[in-house]
Amino acid sequence: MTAVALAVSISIFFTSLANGSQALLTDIVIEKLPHIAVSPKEDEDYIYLYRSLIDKIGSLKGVQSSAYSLTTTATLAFEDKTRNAGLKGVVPEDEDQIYKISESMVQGDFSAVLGGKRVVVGKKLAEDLGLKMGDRLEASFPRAKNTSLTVAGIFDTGTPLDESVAFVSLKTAQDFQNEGDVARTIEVRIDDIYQAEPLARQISLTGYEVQSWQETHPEIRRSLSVGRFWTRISVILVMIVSSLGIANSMTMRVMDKTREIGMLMAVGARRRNITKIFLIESGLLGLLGSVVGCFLALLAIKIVGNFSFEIEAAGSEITTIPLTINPWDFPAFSLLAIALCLLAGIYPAIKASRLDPVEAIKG
Amino acid sequence: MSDDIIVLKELSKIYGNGVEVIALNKVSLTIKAGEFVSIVGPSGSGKSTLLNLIGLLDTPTNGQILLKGIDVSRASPDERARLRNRELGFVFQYHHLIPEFSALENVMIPMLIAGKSKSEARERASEYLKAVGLEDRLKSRPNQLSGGQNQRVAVARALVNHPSIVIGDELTGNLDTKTSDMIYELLRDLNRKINQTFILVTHDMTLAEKTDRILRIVDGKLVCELLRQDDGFRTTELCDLGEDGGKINLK
Ligand SMILES: Nc1ncnc2c1ncn2[C@@H]1O[C@H](COP(=O)(O)OP(=O)(O)OP(=O)(O)O)[C@@H](O)[C@H]1O
Ligand SMILES: [Mg+2]
Repeated sequence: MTAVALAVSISIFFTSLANGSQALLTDIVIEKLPHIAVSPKEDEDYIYLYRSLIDKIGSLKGVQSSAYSLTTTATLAFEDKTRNAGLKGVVPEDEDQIYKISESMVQGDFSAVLGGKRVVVGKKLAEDLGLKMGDRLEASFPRAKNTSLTVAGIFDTGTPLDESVAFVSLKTAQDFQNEGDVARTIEVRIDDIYQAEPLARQISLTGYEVQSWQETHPEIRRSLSVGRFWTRISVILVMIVSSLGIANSMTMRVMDKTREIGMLMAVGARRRNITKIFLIESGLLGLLGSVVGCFLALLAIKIVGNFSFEIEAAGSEITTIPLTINPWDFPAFSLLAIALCLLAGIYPAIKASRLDPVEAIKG
Repeated sequence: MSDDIIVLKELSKIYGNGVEVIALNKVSLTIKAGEFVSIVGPSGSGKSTLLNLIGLLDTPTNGQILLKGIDVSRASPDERARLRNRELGFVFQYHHLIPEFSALENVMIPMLIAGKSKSEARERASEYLKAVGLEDRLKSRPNQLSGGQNQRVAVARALVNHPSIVIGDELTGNLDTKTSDMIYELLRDLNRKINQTFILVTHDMTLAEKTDRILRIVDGKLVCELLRQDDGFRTTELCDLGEDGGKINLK
């Protein structure tokens, strides 16, 4: 019974843990990454007809929002310091749909980039260059038009964006590049992130380069599927081990009860009565073990869920171990355990029913 | 139909794992309904083997067993189980009660297997426990009862289904004289009242001498048969009484 209880609780706990970290990863994808990115056609540098393309994408089923942008690398200089960063020309309103920059503003306003040669930088980049609100920095790059930009806002998303991107208006970016009304990227957010690949294929029919988040961030997809794989393997292993335990303890029990089995046979119990008794017993064992296991799992989840720790990578946030409890896991793993107990009980039960009554009574 | 309840024809049992042991060698025997029979003989002579065959727990190597005129020697395991349940009651030297069950529940088992209702089973089981003097221990578990009390529970369990034949292997072996006498009187009473047939294997010659018929087995063979007549016994055949038969008062 202990074996079953442990198996059920470990299975539920690990699954919750795995679901938790998957939920964390999926959250990152859902909240902080574009789901689909569209780039220029193979032999072109820009998306020239970005307005009609974005209309087409917007009309697709499952698309939530989309934003076009023009990013180029630029050398940003302030006083004696320089840094290279992506100068991203955007429409703030649309960009917010994808990256939620407005929610992460610590100073100023994201939409301020629209007011001429203004820039909104990440907190990390601002610290590196020693920038404050209202400072003027110089943006330059080979073949680009040197431009001076006024700092109109500082954001802190807790992601690498904070040191690698400086937002300007689309017009500013176009001017910096000496280009007309063009864009280089369209980023798309969709309803169901697992629909990214089929939608990406649909968009790619237009001839543009299209990548789903699975392609742009293969490491996330990998850890999602690897996580699922290992959870399944460990659940299967734990269940197999506990079934063997059940089979073993039922065999012991049959040996223990040999005399009584013989007596039952002597007073007229048939073979299938005996089989039934031991099957019911292993079923009850499974049921009891499952109930205890569910409580153990809840307890473990409560205890572990209360540990908090710091995640460095996500920008020093205090978080707890991500655990996602799926209520259906409890009946599902319990039923699985009970079924395995019955399965494991079949052999000992049949063995019990095949005992020779004379031998059994002698013990 | 005659009143021959059990007929054995040249019954043999040979155990053959490695060395062949002839546990029972061509035993022919007829037991009438309502007889009270004891089987005696030295250790290893085949008494238990014979009893297990009559009780349909074991199958013979050769020969036939007729129960109420029907050949049951080759019946299927389930058919034999059914007959054991309906026609036979067993008491063994050790009681083999189920430790998780109370005395009452243990006695109810054969009736429940027979498909009787719980209330009927409970009623009859308490009746028989009362008959063996345990009316105030119905709820006790086997580990709360003495060896003799447990043996009495086992006797009640053997009798509860009103079997036509009750067989006992050393059933009084572990009991003191007083309890042993009490159980004998109970069995004898049932034997007279409802004409139940009893076959008891025993080492206790005082008990054997109270029965109607003594069968003596040596080396798997029926060597001697004593029938009660008036106050003593008469032999039906030439009889080598040997060690434990010496005291019997022959006519
Ligand atoms: N399963 C078995 N395998 C082999 N030989 C057996 C087996 N059971 C019994 N025997 C042998 O059969 C013979 C008769 O055994 P049985 O148990 O009938 O003797 P018994 O008369 O009941 O003896 P006791 O008075 O000691 O109980 C013995 O020689 C015994 O060793
Ligand atoms: Mg014996």
